[in-house]
Amino acid sequence: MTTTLHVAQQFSKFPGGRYRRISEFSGEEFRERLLEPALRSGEKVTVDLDGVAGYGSSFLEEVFGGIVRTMRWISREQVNSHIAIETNRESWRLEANEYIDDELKRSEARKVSA
Amino acid sequence: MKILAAVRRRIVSPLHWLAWDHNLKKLGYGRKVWLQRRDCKVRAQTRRKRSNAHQRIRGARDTLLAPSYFTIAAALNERSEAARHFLAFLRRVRTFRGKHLCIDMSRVGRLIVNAALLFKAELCYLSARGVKLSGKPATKARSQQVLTQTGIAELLSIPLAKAVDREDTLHWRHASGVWTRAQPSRLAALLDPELDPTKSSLYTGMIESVSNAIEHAYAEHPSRRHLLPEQDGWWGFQQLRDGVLSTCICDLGIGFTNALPVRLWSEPDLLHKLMALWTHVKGADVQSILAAIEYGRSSTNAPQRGKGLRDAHRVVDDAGEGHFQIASNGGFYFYKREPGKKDATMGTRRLQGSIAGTIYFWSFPLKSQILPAEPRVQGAIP
Repeated sequence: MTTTLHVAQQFSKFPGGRYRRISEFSGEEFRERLLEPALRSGEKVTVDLDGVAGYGSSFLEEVFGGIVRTMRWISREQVNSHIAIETNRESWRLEANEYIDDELKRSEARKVSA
Repeated sequence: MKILAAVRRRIVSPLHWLAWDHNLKKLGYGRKVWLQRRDCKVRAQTRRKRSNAHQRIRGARDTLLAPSYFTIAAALNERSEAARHFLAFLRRVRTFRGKHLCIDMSRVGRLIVNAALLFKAELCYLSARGVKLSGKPATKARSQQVLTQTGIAELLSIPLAKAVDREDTLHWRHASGVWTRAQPSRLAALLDPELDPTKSSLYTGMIESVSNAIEHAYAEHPSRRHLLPEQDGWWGFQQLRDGVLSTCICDLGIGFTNALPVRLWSEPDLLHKLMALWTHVKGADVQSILAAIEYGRSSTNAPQRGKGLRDAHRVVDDAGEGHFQIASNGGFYFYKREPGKKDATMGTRRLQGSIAGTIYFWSFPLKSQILPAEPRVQGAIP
């Protein structure tokens, strides 16, 4: 089963900053309110990024980098089996993937140092 | 004896007395004493007048004369004293401690968007502090229309222009929000209806700037201004003129220097790069801006942070041409992309005074920002 989360329809057309304490419609809020519950139900989640005014880097990092940190994923396969990104803006997809990869690298480094 | 007593009381300095004695030696003793006393009296009166000039009489209005040209950094081919005059005027507005301020706008002839925004922000701040604002309208019809359209006329309680119909004033838009929490929907006022918001990166730059303002600009710091909980903390202006969209976001926070103080001992890996930077760049404000841009520094020191300024540059990169500027306290940074040129140019300079806040400014031709539609893509693997 796959669940699709439409950011514009289910969250906001004007996504905010990184944290709840500094912004309405923050990346942290999206991750905690919509993305994590959907993932914890065991379904693969497709995040539809289209239809919004734009995304700040901090929003995308907190959603996609943050989900890797929260779910403690350690490989790309794990990520791909749980989450997919849908958009007609290639730059958003590349950016989201960049944050996922960066976080995977950091978790790998932490694992090695431990 | 009386004169000696006066010397002891430091009303008359000994050297001054000797000079007097030399010049007046042909006068009688009584005449000398009379002249000395008169001199002391005049000096005391002058001192009293000077000290009274700084005291505000309760209920009295203080009037400031606004300069003719509102600009924070004059272009290289323009008179630099215009920026100096405006910054000095802005400092007088900022440091005003009275109850009622009257600003004479009669001479105002030209307003640059970022300077006008700073002025409005300072007026909003004074108004929130309980200062009663009033003003005299601009004599030029065009300036009066701009003041009306930007909301400055309303703040100063000056008569609004009967009609705002000039092409260059009609397309001024403004927005603002509280300093405690970013309200992204407030930025919708600055998204041009002609510009497809889903194909523009302007919103990205603006939301990052506002988030930065709220998270960093109003951080606890001795230099932070006193703000009430629901007081506005960021302001935005936008102007469409000759097909060029100019947008700016400003805050009255502590600036890059205080929010991100550059401490080499805490960043030893950056030492060499920063030392190279130091030799070319003067001024702590400029150095802090450059350090934040070049190295994606963040006050949190978290590896995933410090990406906001990258978004701000991307607005111009996506447009293909245009300008991006940051002014923070006394520092100024610009990033310029010209059509047909592969590399962007950037530079810094010191402002002729502090703006006591931070401004982000973007300017790009509107048509170039509308990107062609990209094919819909699905999947996580790039």
